[in-house]
Amino acid sequence: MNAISIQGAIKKYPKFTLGPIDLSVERGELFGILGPPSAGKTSILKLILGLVKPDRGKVLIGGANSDEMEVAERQISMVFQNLALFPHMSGRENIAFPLTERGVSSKEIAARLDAVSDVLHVGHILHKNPAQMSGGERQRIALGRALIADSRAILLDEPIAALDARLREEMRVELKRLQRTNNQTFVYVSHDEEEVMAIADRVAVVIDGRVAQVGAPDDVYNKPNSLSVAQVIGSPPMNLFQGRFSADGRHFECGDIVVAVAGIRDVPAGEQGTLGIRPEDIHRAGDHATRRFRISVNSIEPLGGYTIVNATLGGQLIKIRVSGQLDGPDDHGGSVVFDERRLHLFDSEGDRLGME
Amino acid sequence: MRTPLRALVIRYAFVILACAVVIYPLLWMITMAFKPFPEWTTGTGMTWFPKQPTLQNFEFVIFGHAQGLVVSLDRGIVGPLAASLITSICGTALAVVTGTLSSYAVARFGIMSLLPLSVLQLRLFPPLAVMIPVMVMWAFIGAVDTWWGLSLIYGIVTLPFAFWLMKTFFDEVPVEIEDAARVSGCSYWRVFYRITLPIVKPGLATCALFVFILNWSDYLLALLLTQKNWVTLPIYMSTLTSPMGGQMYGMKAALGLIAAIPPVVFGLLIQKHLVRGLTFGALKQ
Repeated sequence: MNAISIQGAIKKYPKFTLGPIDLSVERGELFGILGPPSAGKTSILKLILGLVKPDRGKVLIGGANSDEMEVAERQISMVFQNLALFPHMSGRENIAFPLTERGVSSKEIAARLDAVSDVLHVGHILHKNPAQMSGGERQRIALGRALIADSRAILLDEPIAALDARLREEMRVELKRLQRTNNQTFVYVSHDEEEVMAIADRVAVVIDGRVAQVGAPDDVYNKPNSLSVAQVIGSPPMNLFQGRFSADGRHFECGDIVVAVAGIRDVPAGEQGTLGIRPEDIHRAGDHATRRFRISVNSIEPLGGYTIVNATLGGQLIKIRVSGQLDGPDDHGGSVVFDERRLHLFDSEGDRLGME
Repeated sequence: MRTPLRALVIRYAFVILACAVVIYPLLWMITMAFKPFPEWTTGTGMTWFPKQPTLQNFEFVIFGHAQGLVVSLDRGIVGPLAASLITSICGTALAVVTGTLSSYAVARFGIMSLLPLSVLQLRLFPPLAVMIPVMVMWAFIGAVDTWWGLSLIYGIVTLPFAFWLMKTFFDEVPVEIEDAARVSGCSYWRVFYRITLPIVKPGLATCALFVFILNWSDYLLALLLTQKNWVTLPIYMSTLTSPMGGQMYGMKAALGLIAAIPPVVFGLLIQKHLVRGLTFGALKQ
């Protein structure tokens, strides 16, 4: 049975319509929701929580229709983007709040508080108020408040967005560990694809209020089902070339760039389309490479383990990701080749064309 | 960057001038309260400090008469002080409670979106413009010269102030905090009582103090809606004249000093909330 299932839910706002949304989250799964800002990610969480009611469709919690369920009855916890800690309460009171509100005995509260503070290493800050805590400490307290309630699922709305890069990475690993240890259902929302792809078992890409694609992170990355998903997933983003399929349907042409598309099914011969290639799938051309493209390098961005090369190809700016470090712009100058096994082709509607 | 000397001088000159404007009447009141009758006016030459300090003025306003004075009043300060305290506190409670609840409903649930402007309209009328109908209504319901009649009008007149002030405080509370409480098991009422109200406590204290001061210093409403049973301090002060001596400046200053005590004590009691209340929303969350 699914922990959470959203079936054809639509919610209309004055300037935005969410849905129809169809999603299901398995028990014990870490489900990621990824999308650009204002895509409707938080609205999906509010639908699950019951903070907003769908105009159409339904939300099933633990297999039961949640229409008549109050927010608290759903037994779903949430870590809010701004953490939403209660500023007038200590860390201890914040974490224990869901239990005190549900009338749990003080003995049980103490036992569960001990367990949670051990897991999150927050024993030393329980007496502090949120204003006296660092960002990471507040983060842990907010997580503790979600964990202590023994919920069906925990929703995390960009929970680590406010932390610095190093702490974000640490918290990411810790969240994954917590989820695995407790075998709990997590729904993790972020606009940062790296964050979601790194920890989610499955991911839903939400664009303009709709679920554009659901799948394993690898599938979504390697086989984006539409141009819009391809643009959202990947950092640096996929290089896109707008052009036309040849009349015989064997090539894609964009100015001087011509690539073979013989292995691709249902090519709309003679029609317009888009070719996509990820920055890491463009390589320096070897001596014997046949289909090579001349580039001029504009700048390089050394980022430690890899380097981003900003170049111009066929009058269009592209990004190339190269392992290791380059000595200078000329180090990657000259010609490049596309890895033809990893081309992404989209028709004029932006839908992905299948590959054999 | 260093501030140029001229700008600094001008800035401090303005500060000193502003302080003088505020402090001068206070100093005048304090020194006058301890001056005997001959020193009230320029007859014997005005001085800042009393040549012969006396507590006679306080004795007179407290008991309605004083040793060595031929004039007397038919009442002391006890009645007016009690009337002012009772009506100001009740009026403040009424305005703050109704203002808090209604502004929360508007700020959080957006219900009755025209209510804020309607409430504001109450403040747009000059009080005198509506006082005749109010007097008729108060007479009709038997509220003239009663503690509850005066408290009721105080509550109504200061409600817009309480409403708008509290609304700004509620607007500052992130809605996610309340959502977090609801997710944790709270009902709407419990969210308000357990979470929102404690967070806006500084604002509530500030609002209560301001409304109390407005009610405490009211003259017009008390003048028109009371007769003799519920005479408040400002009305009592207006009776401090004598056919022989005219204005009893010393007594008025003494009464002014006594009348300043309750707001000051109230302010001191809520001091720790007051600073936060006055700066609520001014700092980045």
